[in-house]
Amino acid sequence: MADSGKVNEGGKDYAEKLDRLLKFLYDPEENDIEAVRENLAGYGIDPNELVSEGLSLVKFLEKQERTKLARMKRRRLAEVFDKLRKIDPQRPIDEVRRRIDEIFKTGDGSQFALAFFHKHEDLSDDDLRNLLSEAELLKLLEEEKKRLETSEE
Amino acid sequence: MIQSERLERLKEQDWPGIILRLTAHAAYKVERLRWQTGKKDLPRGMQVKDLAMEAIKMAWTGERKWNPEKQPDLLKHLKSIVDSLVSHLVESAEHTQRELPREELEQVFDPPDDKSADALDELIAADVISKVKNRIKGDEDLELVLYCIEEGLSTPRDIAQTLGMPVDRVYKAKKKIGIILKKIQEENNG
Repeated sequence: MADSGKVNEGGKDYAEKLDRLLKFLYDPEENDIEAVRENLAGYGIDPNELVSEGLSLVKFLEKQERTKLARMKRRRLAEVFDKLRKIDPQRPIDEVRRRIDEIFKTGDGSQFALAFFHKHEDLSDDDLRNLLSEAELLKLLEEEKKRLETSEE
Repeated sequence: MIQSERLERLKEQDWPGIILRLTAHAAYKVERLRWQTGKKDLPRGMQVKDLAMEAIKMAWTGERKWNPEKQPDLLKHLKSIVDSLVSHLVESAEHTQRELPREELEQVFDPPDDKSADALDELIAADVISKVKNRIKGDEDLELVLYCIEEGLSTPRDIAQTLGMPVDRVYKAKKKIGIILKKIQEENNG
């Protein structure tokens, strides 16, 4: 057994020494890329083949993830579009006013929202309907942006 | 960070360098695993490079999401994934059986049936270090290098600096110790 005669019971002195010895022997210094390549060749790994295989994998993964992302964005845009289509432009004017109040009161208090909130009572029915369409669109886009940010953190 | 930004950050990395360095790290980890378990091969027909490729895959797909704000160095993130993969291998059923004779344990530990994994690692390591020391006796460079390693150094550059020895002499010693260790490993594996 060990020439020192005793193993450190419950300790890890020798295990740590062996760890360092293995690190010294097998873990190449990373800033020396030639040493890394030689080290890999020592394991029977061809560094050029390895890089080529790795880059193919990276290329494949990038394509796969970008496709997934594009599909997700398209699906979400379709959802927004679908919600917009359901807005009835000819709804009664009282309902238009109520909805505008709802949107601006539950908004984030932005200058834009406040400005329109104070002015909308002076607008004509057509202008109110146009305002509502734009407000609905902005609201949906804002919700979508928040959803995108929180779900992907 | 949103997914599109993350993909962009991943894309702009130095992938050839990462692939080489990550695989070298995986090889070192597997070498360590071999010493811990006495097994020559990875389970399930895996190869060293498979560990590196799996880590890369996990980072891209988000299974082990990379957060550049918390860890700007992607290689470090990937290495930690490799380390977890290797840990899982250690825990896997194929590596749970230890091969050291029970009577050898009983000679060293009190109580004699203490078979904890740490104690066993310590016992195996003590045996290996002892054998290396015996075989390098008389070769001053090798003895000095091993002394430095025992004292906490592990890179040829640090050792060369500490000993005031040219770094190529440390590399020569490294080669010789590597050969000695390989022989000991072969003997231990029968």
